[in-house]
Amino acid sequence: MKINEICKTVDAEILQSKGRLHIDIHTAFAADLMSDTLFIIMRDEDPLLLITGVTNLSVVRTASILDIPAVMIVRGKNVPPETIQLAEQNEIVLLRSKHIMFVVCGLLYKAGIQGVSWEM
Amino acid sequence: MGNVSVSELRYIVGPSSYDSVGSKAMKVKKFLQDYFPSQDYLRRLGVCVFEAEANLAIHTTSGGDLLIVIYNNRVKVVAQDTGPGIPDIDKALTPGFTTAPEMARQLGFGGGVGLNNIKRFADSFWLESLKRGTTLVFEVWNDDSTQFDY
Amino acid sequence: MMTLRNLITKLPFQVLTNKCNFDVSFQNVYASDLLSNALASVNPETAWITVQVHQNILGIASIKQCPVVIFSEGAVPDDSVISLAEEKDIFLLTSSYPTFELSGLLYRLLKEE
Repeated sequence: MKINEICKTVDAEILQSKGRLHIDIHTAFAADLMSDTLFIIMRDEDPLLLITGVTNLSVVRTASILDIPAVMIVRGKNVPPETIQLAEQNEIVLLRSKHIMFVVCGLLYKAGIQGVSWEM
Repeated sequence: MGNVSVSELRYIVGPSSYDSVGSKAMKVKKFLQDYFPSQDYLRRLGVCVFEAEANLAIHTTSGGDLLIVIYNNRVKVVAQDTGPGIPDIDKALTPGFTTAPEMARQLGFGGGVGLNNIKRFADSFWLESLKRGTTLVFEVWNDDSTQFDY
Repeated sequence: MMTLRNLITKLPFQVLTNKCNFDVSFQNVYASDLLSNALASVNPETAWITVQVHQNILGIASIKQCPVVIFSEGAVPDDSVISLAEEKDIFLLTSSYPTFELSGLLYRLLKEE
């Protein structure tokens, strides 16, 4: 799914477009705990979308460490300018949806986005 | 990779420095891009350094030091602090168990998987904790022979 | 509206709390691991999805009268948290799915109802 299709599906805007804006995304992971994200995503995944309610710098740093190309902020939260700036420096596309995390996941799952493969 | 000379990176992580958690890990990953072309390796190492950095920021009274030594095809990380120590190491290694303050968890840290995560992805892991301080030493190898169970 | 009975027959959950009243129902779902967000958003009609197993989640569920907490990624809290939930009549379920798929499956289920 292209990023602009993802945006249409979950009523999202692009906050920061520098980066891999034209990739195809097949998988997603939703979490607010970055340590949880760091725990789960370690494989050479397809380009992945991280869905989160966290807006501070740690979300960009986590994405950068894990080579995650795009992050979706949920609930229409205010994103601090320094987060947007760090995302731009590290070429991580930042999106923002008005919907809550549950609805964003529901709509994207329905549209065919899959969860990451993982084991406990 | 042949004969790579030893390089060192050293950082100081302040106590309760939640705002900067991950910034050292990012610098380390960027620095190492010149040494190691494998994205998978860099990610694995990056995650381990991120967790070690987060532990120093979240759990220490006076912060700590993060030392990264690059030699041959391996990276050694030493994280050292001056307390208060881990009261129960077994518990600290249990996934989901956390003593992180609410403030840290509100920022997305302290999921209780940090040390476990390092243990899982590092090739060697050594942890000693006393009230006067904790020392964590681990290595992440880029050897082709290493197999990872994940 | 979805009852717990209906929910656990349709998706593979493990029920953690004993003495569960399976007629308890919810209308919507909120997924968050941030306690302050949950505090602002869960209500008596909400099932709350989180990976947080800390006892504090019960404080929030209790204050907001949220009847059901579902742990994703197979997270299971300490026995003491489960006992406390039983006292407070909050039902705890766990699912091995991560939050993304769990939300996807639940969303579809709720839309079908």
